[in-house]
Amino acid sequence: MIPPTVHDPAHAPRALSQLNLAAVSPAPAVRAQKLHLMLTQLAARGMGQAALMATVLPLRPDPEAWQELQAIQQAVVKRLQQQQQGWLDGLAALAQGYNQSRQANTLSKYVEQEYNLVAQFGALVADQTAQWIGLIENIQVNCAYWAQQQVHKTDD
Amino acid sequence: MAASVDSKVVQLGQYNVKRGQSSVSGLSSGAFMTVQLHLAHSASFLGAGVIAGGPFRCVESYRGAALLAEDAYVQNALYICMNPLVPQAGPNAERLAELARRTAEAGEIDPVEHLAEQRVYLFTGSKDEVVYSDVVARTRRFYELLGVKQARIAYHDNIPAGHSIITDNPEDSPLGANEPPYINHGGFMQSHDILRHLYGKLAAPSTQLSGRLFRFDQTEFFGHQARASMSPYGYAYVPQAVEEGAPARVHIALHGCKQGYNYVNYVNGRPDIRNVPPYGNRYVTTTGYNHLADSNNLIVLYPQAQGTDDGATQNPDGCWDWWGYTSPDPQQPDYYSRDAIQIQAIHGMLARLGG
Repeated sequence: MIPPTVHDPAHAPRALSQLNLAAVSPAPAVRAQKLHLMLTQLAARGMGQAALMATVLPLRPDPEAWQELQAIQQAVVKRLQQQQQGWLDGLAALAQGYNQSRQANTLSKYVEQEYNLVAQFGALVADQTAQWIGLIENIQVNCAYWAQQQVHKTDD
Repeated sequence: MAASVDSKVVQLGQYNVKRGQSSVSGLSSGAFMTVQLHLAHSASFLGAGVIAGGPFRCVESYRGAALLAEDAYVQNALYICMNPLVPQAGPNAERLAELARRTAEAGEIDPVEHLAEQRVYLFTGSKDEVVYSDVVARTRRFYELLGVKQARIAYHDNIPAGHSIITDNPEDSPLGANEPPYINHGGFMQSHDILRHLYGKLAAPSTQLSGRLFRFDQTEFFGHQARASMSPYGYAYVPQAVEEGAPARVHIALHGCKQGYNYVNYVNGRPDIRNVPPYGNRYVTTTGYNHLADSNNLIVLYPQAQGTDDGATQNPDGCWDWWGYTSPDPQQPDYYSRDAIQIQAIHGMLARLGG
């Protein structure tokens, strides 16, 4: 029910040796392999998490487990709201900065100012994207860890 | 509250230090390292101060987080040990206390029985968005489970501070800030509260420092190994009376991430060496430790970590190792034990001082 590649540490050494093989490859190949590993992991962890939840919840029909699950959902909504606010604040700051009258006595400074705006927008997008992916990882790790602890409670 | 340091590099010396009466405190990664150092060498200490730190070996909470051990530890660090979505997804104090006992039984750290009579200061700002308060609450429970009496634990969670060590310096960041250099203005010196809790009644802090703040070569303590991710120099403050032979005690103050003297910000993945942030050694000179130490014959030791972000070590922010980045074998990490390269180095400095 749980993908062994995700939850069985015994598989880790094999993956590690694969990575070591990649260490002698060119950097782009190493990066591609790492990306593949991370994406596979993300997908596998998502499936594992769903399977674990499906296993755990029937075992824990008590209100406490359901309340905790609801609290996780509320926490996710709150984090999403915070990220949304961060995005809006970032855009507002960019617009405000652009609207302020800025002096440019040279063409080079004018070009630099325009490039700064593009760079700032790029940084905002990168930051928001990283935060969003981080939240997905956070949810996956937290849910799987929480579910594992529920299983341990049942075992006890 | 600043103290200057001269340009010499000296070797760390020996003083008339009372053994077993040393203490350690730290912020953030320095707080996680404080807990590790405290447990690894509990026989050397009488207490610890933890500002925004989690329990021992927290990153080993959930190995199933990733295929590779080192990836799993980082994900545990970020999502379980720093900002869990809910308290129930945070560190499990009972499990980690049991793990600490087993680690002691295996001889990797000092026996946990040393902790019973020790004092612990724990702080979490109610506006901390880097290491959530739920985590620090688990650290309190962790210490209680290891036998530290509740009356000896000072736990503060009701000050609206962000992720920071708090000072009364007007130029520091607003109290609720969660930004580098993580030194916030709150109208009091948190370092003084820590030292007073650990050592009991102390004389008022000096207004003028009598002693010497010096820079020492700390590479000898980690054998110049790059994996240590430690800076070339550390700092120490020694009061005048201690220089002249008075009995002393040692306090180790551990900075957090992005607070080492040679911290360099990484911009788009590259060290921005042309725009080094002006933090310098603010943690060493402005956080108030030296002035209270001066009037109470305390030596303050400031070991320094530095950033590294290459194929071998992922530590761009110059954090202390609490997720295993210095471990030679990720499958069998040693970052928490007496054998850990950073713990060996810091304890080596303490031993050199005489503690």
